[in-house]
Amino acid sequence: MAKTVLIVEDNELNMKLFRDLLEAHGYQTSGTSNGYEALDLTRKLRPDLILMDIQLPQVSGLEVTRWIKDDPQLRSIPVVAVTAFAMKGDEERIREGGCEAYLSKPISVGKFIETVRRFIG
Amino acid sequence: MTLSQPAKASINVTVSSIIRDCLDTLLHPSARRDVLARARHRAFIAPRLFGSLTALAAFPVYLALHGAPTGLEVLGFAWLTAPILLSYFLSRTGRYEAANMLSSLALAGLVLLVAINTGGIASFAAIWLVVIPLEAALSASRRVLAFAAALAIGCALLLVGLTEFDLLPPSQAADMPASVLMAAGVLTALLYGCGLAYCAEVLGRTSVALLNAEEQRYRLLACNMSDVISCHSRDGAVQFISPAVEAMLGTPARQLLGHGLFDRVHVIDRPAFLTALSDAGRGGEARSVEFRLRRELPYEERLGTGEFIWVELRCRPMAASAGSTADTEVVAVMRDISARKQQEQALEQARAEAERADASRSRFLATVSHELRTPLNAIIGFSEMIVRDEELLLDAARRREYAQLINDSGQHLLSVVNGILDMSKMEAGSFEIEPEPFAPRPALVNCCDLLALKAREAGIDLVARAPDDLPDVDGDPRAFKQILINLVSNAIKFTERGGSVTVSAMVEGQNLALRVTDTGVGIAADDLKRIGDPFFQAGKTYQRRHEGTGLGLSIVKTLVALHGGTISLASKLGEGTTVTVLLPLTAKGARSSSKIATIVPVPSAPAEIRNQPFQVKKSA
Repeated sequence: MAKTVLIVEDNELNMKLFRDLLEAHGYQTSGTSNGYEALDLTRKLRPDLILMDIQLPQVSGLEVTRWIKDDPQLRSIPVVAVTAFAMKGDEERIREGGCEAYLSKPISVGKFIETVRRFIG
Repeated sequence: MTLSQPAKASINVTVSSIIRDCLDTLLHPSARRDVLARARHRAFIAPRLFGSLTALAAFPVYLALHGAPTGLEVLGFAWLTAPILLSYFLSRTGRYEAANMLSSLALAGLVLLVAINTGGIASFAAIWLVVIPLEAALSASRRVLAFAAALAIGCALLLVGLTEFDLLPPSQAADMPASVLMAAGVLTALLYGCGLAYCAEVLGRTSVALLNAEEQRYRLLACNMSDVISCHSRDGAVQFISPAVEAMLGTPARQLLGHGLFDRVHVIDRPAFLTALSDAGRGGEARSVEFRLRRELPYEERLGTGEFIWVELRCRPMAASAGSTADTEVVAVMRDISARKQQEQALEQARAEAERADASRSRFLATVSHELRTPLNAIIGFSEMIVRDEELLLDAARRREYAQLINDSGQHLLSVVNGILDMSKMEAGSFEIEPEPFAPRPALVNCCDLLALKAREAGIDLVARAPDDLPDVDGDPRAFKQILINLVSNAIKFTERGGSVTVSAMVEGQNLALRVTDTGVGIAADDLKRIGDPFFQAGKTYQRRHEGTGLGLSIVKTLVALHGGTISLASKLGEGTTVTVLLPLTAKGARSSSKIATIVPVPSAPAEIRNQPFQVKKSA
């Protein structure tokens, strides 16, 4: 059975890029641009991996990550931050926020897929 | 001028000053420094030298009139040279008290010698015993005075005793009538007494003059020094405060006595003030404390600057011998340090400003980086997918779709780059406008047309209102459009689906008033102040819900300034925002962008559009 990846991303073009890439590699995807909806979807779908943008409308991806990590039932789901915040210190801050991995935009397709595989095969 | 001065000086040289100069050379070095000591030494030496020399000069005359002297007379005259020796003693040693005591002894000895041989206590010389304590009184030493008084009384008692018990030698003054001798004794004693009185008067005057000079000096210090000197008891109550405080606080010194000063200390600083005084009183060390003091200003000045001044108080325990009253324990010096505090504040402000600029630059870089990386991600990602089309099994239609997406992202990237360039040009002051008369109404309609699609996609009503007879404006039409597009797209961006954005133009006085009103998220009062800073977007960094570089309003601000106009914002969180731009109808003012308009925040709900103008366009 195909693994499910939840994509949280507010830029439509980037959302499409990630979806197409993951689906081309045989994953099922589900997406949202809203942090609150991301939490609901996580509870409902129990995805195998979450790709998390950090700058989101209303609530930041870091906040959403903390909610997920605070929930004993969701905690085990790996969260990979994919973000355009690539200044000095950003990676440390985001990893401290509970994300298992950090990918900066623009992504390299090879590294992106490799990172996803590392978590869910 | 140069000639008259020596002439005047020569007139001032009098006999007395010559004598005084001669005397001064006789003074012991230790007495030369202190004016009062000098006067005392002079008063000791002068009459003694004068008296002795006169007596010695009188000796030959006496001999001539009287014939060969008796042994006693020779001894008496020889004794009269004793004051010369005493003057020499004082001149060499400077021991003033000792010289006075020796002088008393010498005088007592002489009087005793003469009196014993001329009838004891009834002798004409006995009256001279009175002179001994009088002379000693000039020394201003209690010890000398006590000694002289005891000596005189002792001598008197001795004479009485000798007379009473008939132990006196036969009187040698038989050849002159007793009354003549008595008269001579009283007269000489009287003369000497007058001389003493004169010396006492001179000494008294000298010491009063000295005191006055001293007081003048202290008054000069106290009145002309800007520092204030005060004495406190340990609980902070003021016992004394120098008059300089009036210039500092505008309050007479007497009103600050007791707790008057404390009452003027800023409430927040009172504990520090009291602690410093009590520590200084107890700990025995100097303390320093800075605090604010209320200053009494004349009524007309009271509305201006703050009423508190910063002062520094340095206090230390009062030295035990400083003539303090028992209650006074601390002496303090107070200085106005408002200027220094102001400097410190200015420095702090400049530092905060620099930090703010630095933070703003970092935020700028982070934002530019973020805004460039977002479209680049799509461009690089999709192009890499096309490169791997075989591996990913992409058909031609898919590849074409990706190429289109890459193009879209590229266009977006270009607009971001252009915005940044415009902004930096404006910041560098090299952006210029070209004013020409143009009709604002078509320009406004045109802008709304451009943005209608965006508004419709966002589900927002875009309403434009402008009267038909809107006059031409002297300005840069490109800049005008840019202002409108930036303001309207901002309004659309920050308004929820179902809301509305209204653009209106009308003449107000000498200005064209542009108003863009939305029913969007609004701006918090805190953020309102920073709105229009480059790259600033209200809200937290990671929580930005809206795309964009945060350059739009910043650019508008500059363009408005270039037209000599003003921009103001009224907003309430959750209810909406109204931006009002006033552009002068005829061009004037700044052409260079070094002048940047300030946004005037008006933190209130957006005002209703008042006059009912013409609806130009509506899109939903």
